[in-house]
Amino acid sequence: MLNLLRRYSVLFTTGSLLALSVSLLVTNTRGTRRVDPLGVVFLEIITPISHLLSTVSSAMSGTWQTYVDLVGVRQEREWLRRRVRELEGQVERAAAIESQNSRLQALLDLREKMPGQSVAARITGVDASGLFRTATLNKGERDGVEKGMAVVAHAGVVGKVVSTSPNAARVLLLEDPSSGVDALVQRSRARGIVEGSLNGGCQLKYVKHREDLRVGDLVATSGLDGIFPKGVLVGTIVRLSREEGGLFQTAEIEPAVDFNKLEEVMVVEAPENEVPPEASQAKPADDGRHGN
Amino acid sequence: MRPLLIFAVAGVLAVVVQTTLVQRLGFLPAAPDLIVILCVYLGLHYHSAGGAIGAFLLGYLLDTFSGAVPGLYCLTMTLVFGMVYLLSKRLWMENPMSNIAAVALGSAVKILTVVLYFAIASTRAVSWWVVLRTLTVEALLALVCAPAVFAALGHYLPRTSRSHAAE
Repeated sequence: MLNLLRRYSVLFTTGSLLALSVSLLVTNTRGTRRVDPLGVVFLEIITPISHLLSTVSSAMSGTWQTYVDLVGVRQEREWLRRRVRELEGQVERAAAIESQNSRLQALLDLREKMPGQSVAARITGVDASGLFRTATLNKGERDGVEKGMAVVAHAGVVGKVVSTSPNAARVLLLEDPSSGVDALVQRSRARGIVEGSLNGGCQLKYVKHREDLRVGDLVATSGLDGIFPKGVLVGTIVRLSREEGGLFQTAEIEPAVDFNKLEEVMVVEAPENEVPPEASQAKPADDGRHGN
Repeated sequence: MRPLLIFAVAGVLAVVVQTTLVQRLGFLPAAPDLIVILCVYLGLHYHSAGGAIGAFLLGYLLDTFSGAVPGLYCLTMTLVFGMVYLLSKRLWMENPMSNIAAVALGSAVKILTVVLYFAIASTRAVSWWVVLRTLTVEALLALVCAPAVFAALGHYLPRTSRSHAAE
C-alpha cells in the first residue's frame, strides 16, 4: 500500500487538491459566507509590496514622461537642458500634488456629508484577472474597515468591501457582474437594482414597466439596502430597453465614477435606517457570491 | 527549500505585476497570466506532491486577488499542473517550443475551466464574447512572456533541484 502511494504520490496529491478545490468552489458558490482561510494571509503579504510598487512606478512614469517631452529639444546647452529637466520635474510634482490635494479636498468634503464613521483609503491594486472587477485598498481592520462597508468616491459609488485583513481590504466594484446596489432614479423616484456587466458599465434592472425613465436621468443610491448611504450618485442612464409584455424595464447606466482613474476613496459605515414596509416587497440588493 | 522560496517570490511578483504594474503601464490590453506559466513550469519540472501543492497555492493566490469565487483558480491551476504533468511524463518536453506548447495547453485548460464554471454556476447573464476575448488575450500575452519567465526560473533554480521524482 505504501509503495503504491509512493509510486503515485503526485496523482494522489493532485486528485486530493482537485477535490479540495471543488469543495471550496461549491461551498463559496452556494453558501452565503465566503470561506477563504488563506486569503487574509496573502492580502497581508502582497498589499505592502503592491503599494510600494505603485508608488515607485508612479514616480518612474513621471520621470519617463519628462524624458519623452525633452526628446524633441535640439541643440541646447547641457546645463540649460538639466535645468529645464529639473524645472519640469518640479512642475510635474507640484501639479501631481495639486491634483492630489484637489482629490483629497473633495474626499474631505464627501466625508463631512457621510453619516457615521468613514476611512479614507488608497487603491493599491486591481483585479488579478481580467474577468472580474475588484480592487485592493491600503487600509484594513486596524483602520476600522469591515466587511460589508460601502466604498465611495467624490464622484459617486465605487463598490463594497468583500474581504479584509488587518492592513488591507478587497473591494467589489460597482462594474463587477456580481455587484448589486439598490438605487432609485432621482427625477421619477423609480426604484431598481444596479448590477455590473462584463461588457463594462452597469444596468438598472427590475424597474417596473410603468415607471418613467428617460435617457439622462441621474441614478442614486436609495439607502434601503443598508449598505450605501442614501443619495450617493451611481450614474446616468444612457440607454433604455423595454421588453414587450414584460414586467420590468432595464436601463444602461454610465457610472459616475471613472474606475480607470480612481485612486483615493472613502470607506463609509452603513447608515442606520429603517427599511419602510413597501421596500421589503422590492428585490433586495444581490451581491452575488462574494460574501456578506 | 530554495525552490520553495523562489516559487513563493515568483508567485508574489506575478500577482503584483498583474494587479499593479500592468495597470500603471497602461498600454497592455490585459495582464498576462503569469500564474499559469509558473504552474506549467511546476508541471514540467517538479514531478512531486510539492509541485501539485505549489500549483494549488498559486491558484489560491490568484483567487485572493481576483473577483473569482475562492476555489475557482485553485481548481484551474491544479488542473493545469495535472495536465502538464501527465503530458510531460509521456512526451519529451525539454525544448523551448514544447514549453510554449505546454503554456498554450495550460492556458486552454484555464479557459475551458472558467468557461465551464460560468456556464454551470453563474446566476447572471454572461457575455461569452467578452469572457473568451479577455481570456484569450491573457493567454496570448502569457505565451509572449513564457520564454522570459522560463529562462529566469531556469537561471535561478539549479539543475539538481529539478526533481523528476520517481513515482
